[in-house]
Amino acid sequence: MQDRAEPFRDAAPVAAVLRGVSWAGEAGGALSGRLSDVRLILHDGEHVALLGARGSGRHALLHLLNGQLRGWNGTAIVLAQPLPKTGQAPRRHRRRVAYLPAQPALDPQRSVWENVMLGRLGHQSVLASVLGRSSARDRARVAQCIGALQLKPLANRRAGSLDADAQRRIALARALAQEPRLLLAEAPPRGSADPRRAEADQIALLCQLARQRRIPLVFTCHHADLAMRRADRVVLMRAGGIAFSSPVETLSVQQRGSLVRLGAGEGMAAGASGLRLVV
Amino acid sequence: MLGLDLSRAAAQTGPISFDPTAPGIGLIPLAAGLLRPDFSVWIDALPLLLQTVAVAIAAALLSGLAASLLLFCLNRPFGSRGLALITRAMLVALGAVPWLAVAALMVLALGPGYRAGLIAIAVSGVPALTLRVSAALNAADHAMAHALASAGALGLQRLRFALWPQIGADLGQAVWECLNRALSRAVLAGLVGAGGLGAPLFDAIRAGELESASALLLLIVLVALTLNLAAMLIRGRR
Repeated sequence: MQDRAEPFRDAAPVAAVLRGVSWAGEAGGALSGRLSDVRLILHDGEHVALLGARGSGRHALLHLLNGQLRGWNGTAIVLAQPLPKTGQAPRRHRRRVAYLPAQPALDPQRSVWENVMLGRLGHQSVLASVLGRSSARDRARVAQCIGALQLKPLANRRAGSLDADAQRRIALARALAQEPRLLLAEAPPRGSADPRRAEADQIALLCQLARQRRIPLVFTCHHADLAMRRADRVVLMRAGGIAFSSPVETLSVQQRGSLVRLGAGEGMAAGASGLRLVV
Repeated sequence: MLGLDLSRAAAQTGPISFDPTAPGIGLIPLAAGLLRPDFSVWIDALPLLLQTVAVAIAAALLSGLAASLLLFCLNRPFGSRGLALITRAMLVALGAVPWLAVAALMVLALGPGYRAGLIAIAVSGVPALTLRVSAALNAADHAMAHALASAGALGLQRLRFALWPQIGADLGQAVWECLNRALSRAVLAGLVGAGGLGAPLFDAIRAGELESASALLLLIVLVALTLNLAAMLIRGRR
């Protein structure tokens, strides 16, 4: 709680509105899980932590906000644009919404600079990007993001030669290079050397950078205590629906205890006893 | 059973028609003949050599073009499951047909000449090339492509920056193998009258003109070596 610099205020304008959103994952598809009558309002500048077990719909919700989910029902308006239900969201939408995947998804052969520059693809013409031409604005933006993530000494190193922490920072720099108006982030994979620390570091960095830029942030989180320390609001997802949603400030001691006891990841599937549905 | 004298048919219509009753000339005379190449045939063979190389390159290009189009049908992000299944079955069936039979059928349809060879070689090169590139595409990690798509990258940009670094080497190797295969097939196509250097080569062998055959074989080997050297230089430059 004390780490949150500036608590979110209810009067802030709305960044996203989801009403009655449902979606069933395609069998054998890349994305599992489902969404069931999801209702959510994301305010501008708000930082929301998504908690829930695997398959609870957290990633599907992030994909929906990113405009990558297809075949859903309901209403979704993100950054004042209604999202298409069948196809991919238009380029203009996608470049305004940055997505940080659990795995950094970098080109290991390219340098840090080149990987961050890939975040500018949404702003470049196909011909210019294929020919490797970038504008002065592109270069300035990339340099700024590399500086913000303390990657300057590594700018010319191959991304594949760097450790997991540096690679996560490169992926975050690439996301910020988009000049996003909404930042979505998946928690680092559990298989990393020290998953709790990796997650704590990533959340701290994400929240700091998002607050500096005054952009809303939605991130998945395995550890409820980390979420409550950094986010403005926690949302617990279960079976594709939102089981519990509350601003962190208004959480009672009992609710905090319940969230922590539910524990990380799979444990959250056990139930949300003690948590009153406040959506 | 079918009213055909199979041994006679084999002798007359097989790849090279020999007299089935004639004794072999022996390995030592064969080697002696091959070791005395008659380079004077090179001058007459030059146009046919150029035709052979041109047919091989054109056939490899046509195979690549057809494979590129079929990849859209074969890979799920682009085509449906049913279309992918039908395309795969069609490619496997096409791959099972001996290419020389396709060449003979093309000669039957279009008459003797390089056009029949070109079509037969191009068609026969498609299955291996398509299936190999498709396998490389399926094995590629699509996380990067998803990350770039969510950053607003368009299809061509995703292809260039997410997929090409992963499949480019495989694709280059597959095209190179396709060209090599096309070259050897362009030579052999002469067997059924489908153009190229094969016809005079096998005529020379059939007539027992080993010096001429040896010179023509050397010419083919030289072309293959030159192509390999060029490929090595290109790779070295990259």
